[in-house]
Amino acid sequence: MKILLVDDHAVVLDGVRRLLQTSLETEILQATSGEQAIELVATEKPDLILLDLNLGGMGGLEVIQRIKKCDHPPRIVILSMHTEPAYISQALKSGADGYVSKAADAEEVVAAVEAVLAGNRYIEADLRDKLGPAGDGDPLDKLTARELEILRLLGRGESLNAIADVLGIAYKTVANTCTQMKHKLGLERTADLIRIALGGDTIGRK
Amino acid sequence: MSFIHHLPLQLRLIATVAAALVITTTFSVVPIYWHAKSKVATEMQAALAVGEQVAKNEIQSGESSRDLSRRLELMVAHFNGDRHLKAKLVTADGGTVASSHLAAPDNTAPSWFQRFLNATPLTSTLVLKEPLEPLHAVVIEADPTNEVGEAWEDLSTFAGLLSLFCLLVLGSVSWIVTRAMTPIQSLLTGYSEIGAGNLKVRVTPSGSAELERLCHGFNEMGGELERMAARNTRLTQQLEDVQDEERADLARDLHDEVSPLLFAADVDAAMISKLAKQGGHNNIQDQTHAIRSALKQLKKTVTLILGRLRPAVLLDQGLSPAIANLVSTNQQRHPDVTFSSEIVDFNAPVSTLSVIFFVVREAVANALRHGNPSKISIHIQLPSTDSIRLCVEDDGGGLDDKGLKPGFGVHGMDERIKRLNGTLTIQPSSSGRGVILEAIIPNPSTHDVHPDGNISQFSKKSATKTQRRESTA
Repeated sequence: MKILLVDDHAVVLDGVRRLLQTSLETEILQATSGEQAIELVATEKPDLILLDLNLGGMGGLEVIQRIKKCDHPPRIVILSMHTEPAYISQALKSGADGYVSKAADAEEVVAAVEAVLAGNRYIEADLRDKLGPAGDGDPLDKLTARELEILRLLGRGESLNAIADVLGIAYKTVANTCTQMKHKLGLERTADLIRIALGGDTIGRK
Repeated sequence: MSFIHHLPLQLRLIATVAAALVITTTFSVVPIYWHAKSKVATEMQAALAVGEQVAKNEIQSGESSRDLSRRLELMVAHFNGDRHLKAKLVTADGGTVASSHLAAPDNTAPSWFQRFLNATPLTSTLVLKEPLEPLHAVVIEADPTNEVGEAWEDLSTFAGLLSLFCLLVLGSVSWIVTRAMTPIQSLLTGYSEIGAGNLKVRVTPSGSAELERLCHGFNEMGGELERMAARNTRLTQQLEDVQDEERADLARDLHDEVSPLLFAADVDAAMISKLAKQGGHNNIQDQTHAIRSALKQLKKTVTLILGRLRPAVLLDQGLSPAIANLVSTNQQRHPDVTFSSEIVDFNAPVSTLSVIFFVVREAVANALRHGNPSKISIHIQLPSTDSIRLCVEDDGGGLDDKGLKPGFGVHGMDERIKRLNGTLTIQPSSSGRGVILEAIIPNPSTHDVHPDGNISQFSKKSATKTQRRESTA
């Protein structure tokens, strides 16, 4: 059995690797970027990928969509700082099988990996309540995975040009997507989008 | 009299004109009275004298003739229809034998007017030397009724004309004043609207030339207030954007740098307790080592974040430490950019230093965000004793054809520099690549008036020190 860990923090990678190695009998692969992860999935064909959403270049949501296009895609568990319902539901919609935040206990990370390897879905206990029924009015739910990814990159302070480079799409597409997002969320300025992206100040949701 | 000052201007003007008219009228009545009185008296005396003369002549010339009585009767009849004189033939016991009658007066003055002029009839009695029984004497009486009536008529005409004049003056004054006051009324309304916060209010210029200028002035003031309010809104917006950006940076650092380390430390700590339960004490060494290295990184990260939050505090010690801090923070985030700075320290109020620091920070941020430069240099110099020059130059993409786009924080920089009476220019770098931002600000410490100005300037100049830094990735 092979598990691929994807995180741009060496400290986190090492910690999680030690954690999984002491708990499971498994081979551990590591990647520090989305691009590297996609390459390793193609060459090593891991059974499961433990994926961070915040990566240096291409983000986790984008990685999920690209991995899902492979033959025999691995099972995917997200291990992220994000606890916002929009990210969770978007990750699950894109094809993730589990979602654990980095605020969870170490034991829960292991439990999620085990559950998903056994063929189940797993969402961190603390986040399950937050998710609620589908379409509970979170404005961010209106966004597509691509939009959410662009929003996340905006929140990282990337320029539209840099976002276009990372996602391999045209600058114009990024700009149009921003306009669409502003329209969907009822915002006027890109600065407001960035505020939303930071997660602290969202509209229509406490 | 102070209540007059509280009356509306319109009423004050009209009341003043009315008072002037009343006073003039009152004083013009006095000479008219004296004139009328003396005229009546003079006329009466003159008339009486004439009547006496006529009667005396008649008596003298008729004394010798026998028909004196008849002549006297004719004479009395002759006085009929006279305007002032009446003649009577009386008996010794006061009875009237014959009497003439006055001409019917054209105007009859009211009796109070007659009393007012003190006009009483004058009489003269001519006693016959040789009585002609029953005739005893001829009485000539000057009656003022007609003369007073004439004075009354003159006075009435004068009073009528005076009233007409007063009415015309008052009417035209109040018309002019009311018309002139109309723009003042709309100005008053305008001011209270502006006071209530409606800066869009304007008045239509009208009225006299001065008031029209006042209206134009009011409109200009409204426009300037509106522009200032808009500028304030824009500045506030910019400030919010800057704060948002700073918060975003901070959140990003906590999210990307601090939280993963906490997570890693937590994972290792959890494993220690698991290993301890399982008796794998030998392996605990690895975990504690991992936790300690995570904590070490955490400390470093927290120090960096604190450094970024601190520039304002650092200004107390002068610009150099603050800008050095700014450079090192940016250097960490952009390791491939070469920063250089040359800062002349000088004495200036913290408010001036913070503007300079703000402009440098904005300029560096703009260069990094929009220009993708490989070099950024910061210069702060004192080209002369009374000015400060700051200059931030990069070799990045430069300005595009359309010049600066809004949102580059240029407005915020410009506003702050202007507040210090300085100038800000942003232009393509002379090297052909990148942008050069230059600001010249008057040096506030040398613009103070010192009694020993030269000495203080000299000592200040010698106290300045230059700090040169080069930092390369």
